[in-house]
Amino acid sequence: MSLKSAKTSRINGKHIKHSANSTIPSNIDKETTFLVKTKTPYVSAVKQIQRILDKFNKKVNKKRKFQGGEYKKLNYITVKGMGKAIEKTLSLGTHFQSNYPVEVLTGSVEVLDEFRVNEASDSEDEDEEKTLYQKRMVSYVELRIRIRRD
Amino acid sequence: MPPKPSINAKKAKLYNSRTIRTELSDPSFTDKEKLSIPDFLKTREFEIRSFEQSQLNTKYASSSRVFQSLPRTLRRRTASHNVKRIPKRLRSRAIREMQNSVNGQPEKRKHQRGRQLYRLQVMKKLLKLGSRLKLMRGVPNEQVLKDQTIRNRIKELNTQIKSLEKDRSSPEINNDLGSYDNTGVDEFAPRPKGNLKYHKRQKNFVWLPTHVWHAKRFHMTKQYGYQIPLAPTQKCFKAMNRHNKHDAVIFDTSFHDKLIIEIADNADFIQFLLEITKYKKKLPTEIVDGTKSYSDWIFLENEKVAKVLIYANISLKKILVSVLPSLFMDIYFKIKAKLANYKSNTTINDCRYSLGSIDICGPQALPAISKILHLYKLENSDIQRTWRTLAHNTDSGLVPIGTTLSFSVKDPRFWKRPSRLPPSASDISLNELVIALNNETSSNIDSDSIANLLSSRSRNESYDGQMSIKSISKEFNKFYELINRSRIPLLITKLAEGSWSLILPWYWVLPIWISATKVRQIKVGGLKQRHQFNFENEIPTFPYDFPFLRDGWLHNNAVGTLTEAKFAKLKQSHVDISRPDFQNSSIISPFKCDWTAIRNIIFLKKLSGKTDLELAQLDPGFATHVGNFSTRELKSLHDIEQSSKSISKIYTEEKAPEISIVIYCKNNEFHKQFVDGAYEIKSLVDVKMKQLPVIQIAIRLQNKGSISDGARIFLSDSFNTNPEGFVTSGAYNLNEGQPTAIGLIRADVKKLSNPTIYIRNIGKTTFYPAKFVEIK
Repeated sequence: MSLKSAKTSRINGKHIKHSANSTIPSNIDKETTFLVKTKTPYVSAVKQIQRILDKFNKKVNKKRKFQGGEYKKLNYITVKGMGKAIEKTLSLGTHFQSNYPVEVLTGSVEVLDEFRVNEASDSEDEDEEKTLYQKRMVSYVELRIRIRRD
Repeated sequence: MPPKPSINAKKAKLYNSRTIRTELSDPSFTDKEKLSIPDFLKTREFEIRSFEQSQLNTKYASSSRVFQSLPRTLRRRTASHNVKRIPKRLRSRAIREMQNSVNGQPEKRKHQRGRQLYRLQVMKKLLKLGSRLKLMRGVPNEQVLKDQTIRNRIKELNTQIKSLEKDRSSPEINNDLGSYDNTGVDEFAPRPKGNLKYHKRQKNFVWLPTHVWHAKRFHMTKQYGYQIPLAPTQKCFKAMNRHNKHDAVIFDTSFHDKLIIEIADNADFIQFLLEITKYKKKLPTEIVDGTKSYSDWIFLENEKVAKVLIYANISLKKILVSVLPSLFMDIYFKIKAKLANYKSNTTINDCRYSLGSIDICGPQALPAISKILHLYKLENSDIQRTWRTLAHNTDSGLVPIGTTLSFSVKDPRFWKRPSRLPPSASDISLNELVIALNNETSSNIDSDSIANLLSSRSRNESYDGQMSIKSISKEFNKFYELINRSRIPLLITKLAEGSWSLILPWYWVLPIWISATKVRQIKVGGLKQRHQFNFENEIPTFPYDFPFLRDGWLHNNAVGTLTEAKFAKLKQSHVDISRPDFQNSSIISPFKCDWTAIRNIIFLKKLSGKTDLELAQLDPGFATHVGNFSTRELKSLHDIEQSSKSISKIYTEEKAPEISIVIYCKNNEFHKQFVDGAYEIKSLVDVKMKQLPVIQIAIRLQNKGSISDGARIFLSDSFNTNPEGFVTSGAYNLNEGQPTAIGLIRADVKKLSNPTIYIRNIGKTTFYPAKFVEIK
């Protein structure tokens, strides 16, 4: 069965997209994950990811905080992109490949779409809106850029 | 006690601490050019050590006081001369530092003599009797709290204590803390009495349950008969934005006045809801049966009054309304009048001082608060499952507005630290839960808890045996016995602005609050932070952004009066009257959003029947009048400006509306005509009697710039035109990384396709091009 047949149809109405991230991130997750969006400028992403990588490099960052404790076991930082941003994420991967070992993981993630459908005017003053939710699967790619401690 | 060191000795110590001793001989150069580092270091060892020592000396010698090393959140005002404001572990050092300081420890004040001493002694007696009454579980009666001599108050207290001693079988309150349910049934509830010692200072402005906690950490403001936390004393503008983006921020919103309306008949119950909500024909069943709450406009006499929270439950026949305090009286009387028309039995309960609330915003609102809410055992496991899923996921606007849960929790003070809710195998994913919540397959309301929360007697019962922090720590070994004794009913619901509101009995707010502040993810905000978060998410805030409502109108006028008074006090040399808006000829006040002037100009131009170009071209000349002198002929722009000034003096048979603007309503005939440009203004009286239809907009600049409150909105970047609206809140938006604004503009801009507007700040000459979207 092809994947396309499982695709759900779009409901007519105002489409509100929601973030696919709903799990509570740990402190380390917050500091080592970079999410690429379609609107993220490429060079800005490169700089921001480099800054995260530099944080763990003893030569660049003298702070001991990032060498011990919970950070000691940390091997890689994560860069994620989904849907339209996959291409940009992969090109970021190729950029970092020259200096760092990069692993690429692919998968799909479930997102929830919200549709506001205008119903026949029930109230006199305002149009009554009905909200519908629909699940959708989106492809995503994850880069694991191995950090260098020295 | 050691003698105080002389000032010279102290100075000498300070200077000594800064001198670093050095060793001059240097044999580490083996060859003349080569430096052997280990040798060099070895020879410098003495210097390095003394350098390090000197650093320590400086640190200990003096220059910094112990409270300066505290993190910001632990710093308190005037800690330099009051050791009680420093954490206990550092107090002894603080006392030592105070002894060493130039002024030394402040001297103890000599005790009072004569009349003052007598007054203190009598006051002490009164307070002793007061605490005795509290121990006997009595509440001081009105006579004790009245403004009269202390001796008479003592007399009253004595008689009350004696009567209580005679009959100890039925104490007035059921706990040692003085908590009791203070509801007014079909009448206004009396103000909470508070502690006898602090009664006087909360007579006119009621203290919130968390007042003492807030007073130490916040700037307070006296508004609407309450003392409300305004903003933390510490700088927190950026920090608060970050907390709201990643963690959670809580607000004590117990000053939102609550009402419970009981309507015995089901048909009347539904009819009442239809009249006050936006639904006019059919109510959604989930709102009637209490599965969801309604967080939107309340309609009274077919007019939008304010945005409120309504929770209705037809099986209990009760409707809970939570309104902003400034509107309470108005809404109370209007609802009372409405209820009088129903045939069935109706009651209106004033729960202003019996139901408190805490608002939580931010993506981690529920995960954070769930760490202290330990659920009392529930018959319905669905509620538990929903709560667990919500507590294990961040909510970035995914959970539907109006989602409501109700359950009972145990006293959170029995847990020494916040603990995460353990996950369970039966948990469902957030996406599935959201779909289920939207389809209303099941209710998340525990019927017992909601009944307890909405009934005065049960609320009072929930205080039974309420323990103080001291008694909890004393009896901590009886943990398992005690935890099931307390049962706090509460309601948690999602509001339209995306935050969650926790409604619970008034005297349980403080225990929950204090436990909540111990959760790492939770930070605390005041009124200003609420405004900041709303602004950053482009949500209008009441009353600042609602000048078309009475409170917003009054706020705008008050701002105008205050700024004008401040301006009048400026030295002449500091006043530049050549600035735009401040010129004498300016007819629009530079101190506020002058809606009346804008309305007058727009309607007068319409009355003149001339285009802007024609008006501008005509020479002012002499004023000519049509009929009597009160109506001037409108030939030029000058005529319009002059007439605009005199409109307030024109006599009208009916009373002119107090507010010059009105929010656009698509069903209003005049508003429709106004937007189409087909409206008619017949006379100057018409100008005064009509309100200008406006729409609320969110504004973003196209390029760099800045926007401040009260900035003017134009449709062209020329000084020859008049403003078409005003910015009500404008500032730098940390969420957007650029300045944004919320404002109001004349409603007929709706007709223009994708117009560019121009923003000019008060007294400034730069016009910033901007785009806007209507806020509905």
